This record gives sequence, structure tokens and C-alpha cells, in this order.
Amino acid sequence: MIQLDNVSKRYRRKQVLDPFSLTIQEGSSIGIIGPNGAGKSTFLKLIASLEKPSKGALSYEGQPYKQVVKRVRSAIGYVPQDIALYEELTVGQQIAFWKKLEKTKVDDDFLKRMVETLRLDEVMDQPVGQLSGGWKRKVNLCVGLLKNPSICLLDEPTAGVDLAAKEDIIAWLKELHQQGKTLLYISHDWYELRKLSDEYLLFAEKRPVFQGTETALIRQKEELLQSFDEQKDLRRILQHL
Amino acid sequence: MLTYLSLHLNKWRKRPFVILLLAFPLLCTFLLYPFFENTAGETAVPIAVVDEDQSDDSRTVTDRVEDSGRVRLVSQATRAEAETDVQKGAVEAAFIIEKGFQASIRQGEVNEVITWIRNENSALDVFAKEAFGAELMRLALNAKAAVIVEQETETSFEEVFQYSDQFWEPEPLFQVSVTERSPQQPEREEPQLQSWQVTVLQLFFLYAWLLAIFFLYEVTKDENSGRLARIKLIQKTTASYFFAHFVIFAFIGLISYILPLNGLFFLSETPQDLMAAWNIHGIIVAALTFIVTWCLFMAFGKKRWAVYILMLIAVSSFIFTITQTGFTDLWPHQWLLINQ
Repeated sequence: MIQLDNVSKRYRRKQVLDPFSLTIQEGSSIGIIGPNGAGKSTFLKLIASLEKPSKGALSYEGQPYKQVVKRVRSAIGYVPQDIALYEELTVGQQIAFWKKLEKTKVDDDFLKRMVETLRLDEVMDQPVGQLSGGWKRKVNLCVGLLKNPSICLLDEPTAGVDLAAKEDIIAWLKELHQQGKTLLYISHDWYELRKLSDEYLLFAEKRPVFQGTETALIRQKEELLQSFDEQKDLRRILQHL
Repeated sequence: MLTYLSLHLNKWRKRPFVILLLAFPLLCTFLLYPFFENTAGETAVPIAVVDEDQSDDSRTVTDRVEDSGRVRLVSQATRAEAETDVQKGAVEAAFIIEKGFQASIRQGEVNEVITWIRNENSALDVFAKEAFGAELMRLALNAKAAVIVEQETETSFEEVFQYSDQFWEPEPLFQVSVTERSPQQPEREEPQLQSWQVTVLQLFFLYAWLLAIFFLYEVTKDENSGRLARIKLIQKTTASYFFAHFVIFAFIGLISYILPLNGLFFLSETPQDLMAAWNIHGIIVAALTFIVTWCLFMAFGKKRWAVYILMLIAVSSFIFTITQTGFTDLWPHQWLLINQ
């Protein structure tokens, strides 16, 4: 369980996240939605321990992040929005490189299953730089989840990919969720969100304003739209419900 | 660390020009060495000569001085033109071969046969003065001997003059050998590099430094693309990443300096003592420079603009040292010099 207690984030003069508290239960699959600039990516980075909160504190299994940062990093797999790969290396070299960097032992069976599900064996010898956007996303996902993490943080894992690649990614994430892993992923795609999420976290005006199931979100839709009347992007997101 | 090294080797294997960049100064050394030597000849001290006597002896003196190699003679028609050139700094000094030069020399007279004109900034013309003086003495001594022998025997002046002159070839029969010695080791001669070699070595150092700084782009790219964040999560810390990248950064700098340095020493047949001294000193200075550069890069927050600033510092170091202007002792290019 991850707990965020009165956490906020500020970059010099820019407030990115206003103070908020929430809890992420083990094994949950949370779809993170909200307009651009609402603080979704920063929220994931805080959980991944890639950013420190300006105020407030995070805890993992009841212990402050500061004390268990290595354990947190062992448990977390993070897939950034950017393709954080070495374009010159082939897919095979890429996986081998990141596997070699991994301090904990990589589960080869898990890796093999992930490569098969994402159909990466078809492009193993091709340099990442020469692959299409969809393939790059799949390699990015594979490298991010290489160590078989118990908590998977995914920042728009299917952005800009074709339907076939998207289905491969969704299938794999579904399998991970069925294995009991915690999933937190940012997406703007309701098709994907509905297939994967058992609850939603809605961000608006630099903080999470809703956490709950789709049914609860539909119930609070009008109330939310009235509260954040000026947020046209929010209206656009919620109109799909 | 080897993982990062193999990563970069893998990347460079696909871009052979990177390997070429490392070997570029060495290749240039082998290709351009003859040019370096010729250029060094052109950097000989410029001296104006006015031959008012226009005799065989005056021509012999100027030819021999020019052949000595340290000076480059510029002929002038009149004394006034030569004086103007000296005042303007176009030449380091001027030598006027006075009318009646040959007649005086043939009598063994050396006083007031050549006038030496210089200004307060002249410094390197002493070589020329010594060369003119030596040739003057050679002719005067030969002539003096010829006059005496001619008076006492029936041998002709020319015969004795030629006979006497052979004792100056290939080098004077007696000469004082002046060599520089180290105050610490007075029994040993202190070898030195030629000034053009030192300039070329400073260029090598600039190249190596810039190439190493250029490698820092890789670190900024890792930071900007999110790869560093991924490494932080996978390795739990970025310490080993930065350590490995510092080692590769310093290795690139050192290898691209040491290779052409020794290439130049090999071609110019530099004594081993001197080679060892410049290698050891160069490695120490380079290592120190790269540590400072790395610390500055980290202090600047590993930003792309920091790479440009560091490149500017490297170029400034070279320019300010070469021109001897501005905080000279602060620049690594100055630290590089050994007793020059």
C-alpha cells in the first residue's frame, strides 16, 4: 500500500501539485485521467521516487519513502511517456543492456512471456531507431517492466500507437493485473481505460479531485462539472461517460 | 562500469566516425608533419639587410647567415628603409654592411664594418648578431692570416685565404659549445621542445579537451530523454552511472591527447627523457583538467548549455595561453608547459 499524505510539488516559482492525500491499495488498477497540465505525470514521478515532494510525505507499506527508497525502487516499474531507449541498439541489445543494469535478478520466464505477448521477438534484431512508434512503445514498456515489478506506473503507454500494438499492450497489462500487480496508468483513451481500470483517479486544477469506480464517477459527473466549470478539457474528458 | 563502456562501444560501432574523431589528431600529425616543419622554418626571425658594399665578401656573409636557418633575411635598398622597418616592427633588427666592407675585412679589420640597428622591442635579433659576428670573424681571420703569410712567403693571398678557410668546414676547428643546464641537475643538459612543437601540443590538448566535453552531450541526452530516470529506478542510484561516464569521459580526453603527442615525438625523434617528461606531465595536467571540467559540468546541473560554456572555457584557455594575455596561470594550457 502506498500512502500520500498532504503532498504537494513546486518547481521554483511554479506550483505543479497542490496539497492532497490519497491511498493506493495493493493489487488495484487505477486509470489516471485529467486535462493536460493537471499534474498527472508529476504524481507518477512522486510515486516512482523520481521526484521529491516539496511538502508532505509518502509512505510504502507504512514506512516513510526516505527510509525504504531502495525497496520502493525495487518494487516499482516505471514506463515514462518519452521513449527512454538507446536508439542505436537493437531490441535484443536494448533488453540485454537494461537487464544487465538490473541489480535484482530478472525473472527470465516473465521476460520471455512479456516478449512473446508484445510480439517483440519479431523485431529482436532491428535497431530501435528504425522501428515505428508502436514498436518503440512496446520496447519502452518491456524495458520499464523488465524486473517483474509489483507496482507498474505507466505514463500514456499507448500514446500514438496503432490498434494492433495497443491490443498487445492492453493484453499484457491485463495479464499483469490478473497476476495481482498494482497498475497506475495515465491515459486519454476510454477504450483502454475501461478494459483495464477497476477505479479512476481524476486530476483537475493541480490535484486529484475524484478517486473511485466508473459508476461513482458517472454519479458525480455533474457535480464535478459544476465545481470545475472553467475546465473545458475536463468537460471534454467526462462527456464520454 | 563495463556495461556502460560496452553500451558506448556498441553505439560507436554503428558510427565509425566517432572512432575516427579519436584518431584524427594522430592522422593529422602523420599527414601534416612536413608542413609543420616548413612552417617552423618560416617562423625564423626576420632581419633586414642593406648591402652598401655589394662585394663578394658582403654577399658571402649574408648568404652564410641566411643558411644558418634561425633568421630570415629581408633585403632592403637603403638604410632609411631598413630603419623604418625596424621602427614599425616589420623586422626584428637591421644590419647595414657599410661601404668598404671587403677592403677592411681583407686587411683583417672588423671595427665599424657592419652597423646593427634595433629598437627597444627587439629581442630575438641576438641570433642574427651572433651569426654576423661569427662570419665576420671567419673572413677577418682568414684575411689576416693571408696578409701575414703573403708578406713572409711567396704564397698568394687567395691561396692562403682558401687554405685557412677550410678549417671552418664543416664546423670551426675550435668553438665554444654553449648548452643550457638545469639548476637542479647541473651535470645534465636540459632538453627542450621547439616552440612550434609546443604550439602543436597545445592544439592537441585543446582538441582532446573539446572532444571529451563533446562526450558530455551523451549525459545531457540521457537526462533529457528520461533514460537517466530509468537508470535511477533500475540501479536504485545513479552513482555508478556517473562514475562510469566520468571514466569514459577522461579516457576519451587522455587517449586523444596522448596518441598524437607520441606520434609527434616519434616523427621528430624526440629524446626519450623529454618524451617521458611531457607524457607524465601531460597526463597529470589532463587528468586534473578533466576532473575540474567534470565537477563544473555537474555543478552546472548537467545542462546542455553547460557543454557550450565548457567548450568556451577550453578555447579561451588555448587562446589566452598562446597570446599570453589574461590570467595566464589559471589556464590548463599554461600548466601544460614544462620549462619552456
